[in-house]
Amino acid sequence: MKRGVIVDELTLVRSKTFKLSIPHLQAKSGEVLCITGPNGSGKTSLIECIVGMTTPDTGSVTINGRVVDNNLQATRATIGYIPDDEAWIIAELCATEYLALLRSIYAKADVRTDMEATVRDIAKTLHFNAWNQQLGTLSHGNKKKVQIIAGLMHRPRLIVVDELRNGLDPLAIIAAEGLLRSAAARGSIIVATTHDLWWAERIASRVVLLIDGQLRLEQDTKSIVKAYGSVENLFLSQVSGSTG
Amino acid sequence: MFIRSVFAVIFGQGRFWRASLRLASMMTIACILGLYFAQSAAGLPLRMQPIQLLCSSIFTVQLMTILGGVSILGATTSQSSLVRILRTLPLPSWQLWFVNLLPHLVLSSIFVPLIALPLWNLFVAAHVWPGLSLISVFLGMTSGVGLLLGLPLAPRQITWLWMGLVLWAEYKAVQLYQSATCIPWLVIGLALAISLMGLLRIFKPVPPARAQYREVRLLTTRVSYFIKKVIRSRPTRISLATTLVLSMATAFLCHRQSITDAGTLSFLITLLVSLGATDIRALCRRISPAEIVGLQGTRKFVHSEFMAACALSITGTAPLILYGTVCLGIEIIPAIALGLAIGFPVGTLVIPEQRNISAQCTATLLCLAVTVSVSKLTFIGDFNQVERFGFYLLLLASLLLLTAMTEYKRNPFTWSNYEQTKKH
Repeated sequence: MKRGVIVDELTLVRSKTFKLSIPHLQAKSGEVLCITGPNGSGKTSLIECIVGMTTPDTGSVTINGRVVDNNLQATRATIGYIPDDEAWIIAELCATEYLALLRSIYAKADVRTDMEATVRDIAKTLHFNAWNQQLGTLSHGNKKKVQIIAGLMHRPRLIVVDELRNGLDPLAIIAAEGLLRSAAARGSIIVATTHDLWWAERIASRVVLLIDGQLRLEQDTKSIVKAYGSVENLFLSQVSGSTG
Repeated sequence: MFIRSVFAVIFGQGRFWRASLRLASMMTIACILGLYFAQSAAGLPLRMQPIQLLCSSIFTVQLMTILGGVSILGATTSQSSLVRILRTLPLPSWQLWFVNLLPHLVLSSIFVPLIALPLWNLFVAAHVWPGLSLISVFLGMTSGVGLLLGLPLAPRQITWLWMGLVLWAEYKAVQLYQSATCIPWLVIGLALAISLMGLLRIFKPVPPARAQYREVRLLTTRVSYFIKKVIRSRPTRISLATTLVLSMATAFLCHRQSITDAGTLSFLITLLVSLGATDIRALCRRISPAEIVGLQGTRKFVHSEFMAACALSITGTAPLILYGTVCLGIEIIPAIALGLAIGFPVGTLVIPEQRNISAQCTATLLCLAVTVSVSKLTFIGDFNQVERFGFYLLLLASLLLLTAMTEYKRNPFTWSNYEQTKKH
């Protein structure tokens, strides 16, 4: 069985003017893959296809040998999704109830890890303690912390992160980065989208650049830094080249 | 755990006891109303054949389900965040299907006593086996929900055409019953088919929410602010369109059945106007302090909201009001005033927000209960008495004032707050 995430010949038409087209993209176990690109370049669409929220028009996404479309339920138990969307919580529940609900769902899907202990550990790392407040009334940063706990509580083999740093304070950012690094060290695959190129350079082992839905570049971070000086320089040269 | 949490989120803003309490109170109101209607139905002298009664009942229940379905549609939209999250979790597809179906199931079961009790007595009065009434309730409700959900593969816009077409076909079939014996079975078949089609629609995957890039005019003109807001928001747009379609259908039915009775017309107009006003206010409740400041303070804000709710609830009921005016002249004005006088306080009392399905449902039941109660009050008597004009208008003015004062207390953001923040 092939380990990792493989995106093959994927196309997704979103509107008359936008088409996402990824001929081939692979992320291996223990790797941190950062997807970056200008606004509207297709980062979120690609993430939605990987997580299984959107079915691509053609092509496939395979996670650890399972095609996402066919084995959706089995695959979902292995995915942890940390969105960049404040509404991605059940606003009426408090953190304790929300995480208990997720725990019961994962437990039924045969997730065998000690999720209660993991939740406690992650919350301690992120300095989260607003357990009994309704999620809808939490601050932006605390909502993000709940999303991080929810995304990592079942120790997923694939972690998909959309703009991790948004809303978090500097301490929480460092803590969250640490959580992702240790997950990668355990063998999880991290797929992250970001506009923060400095962060991408710091955390990613590989960087993917999307422009207008097309895969413009996929390269090792070290070789990017060697060739361009920084990921930011690469971005500027590619994007200004394509727009200007 | 899963079902309990989903139930609490959909019906009780996350609290199981609140959800249970709300459903119990709704069930109580529905039972009381059902018993009242059943008592009225028991004395009706009916001479109908079983199959004819069955078809007519299916058609009536279907119409009533569509009327109540506006709240259900609002709820389906409101729980989209819950559904979106659940869709990324490792849940079997039947559980996702169940979450989609839960609001429909629960609300339908609440409305069952309201409809089934009078129908049972009606069937007994017509010397027809009363068990058939339960079959008609089941078929009418499921096909009503099926009609509201639309065709499985067709876009949403087609739903309205489809709904109109089916209701018209069924009405014609019920009318033509005596000339062709196969028609009742066609009605029953059609009810079954649209129930199934509606249920199939639930299986269709919900596409992820996408921002719609549309250029819109600025919202800050005070008078038209809420009118634009209501029309731009999909749930209220749907509910307004449904009220309009229902009003058209009711007017058409009244015309065909030659119903010109002032009491009945006034009752229908009052009910539809009050439901419309409550529904429109559902959106108006979704406010932010910025909006109040933008509209230059609470007083002007409440004024704008009330004007919009009045204008749109009357627009939604316009076809029936028009028919009423043709039949009765200005005698229908008290009915409109009474409708608004009921709709506004109920909207303020229950706060039927879009996210809150049980509040919407309670508001619908309350409007119905108050309209029925008012129609029975001896000192008010008929809705339509011209000499009661002054009374109704006074009632409307006082209730509007009371509602406005409550809203004013609830939203204490004034224009002076804004002026002060500008100074700092």
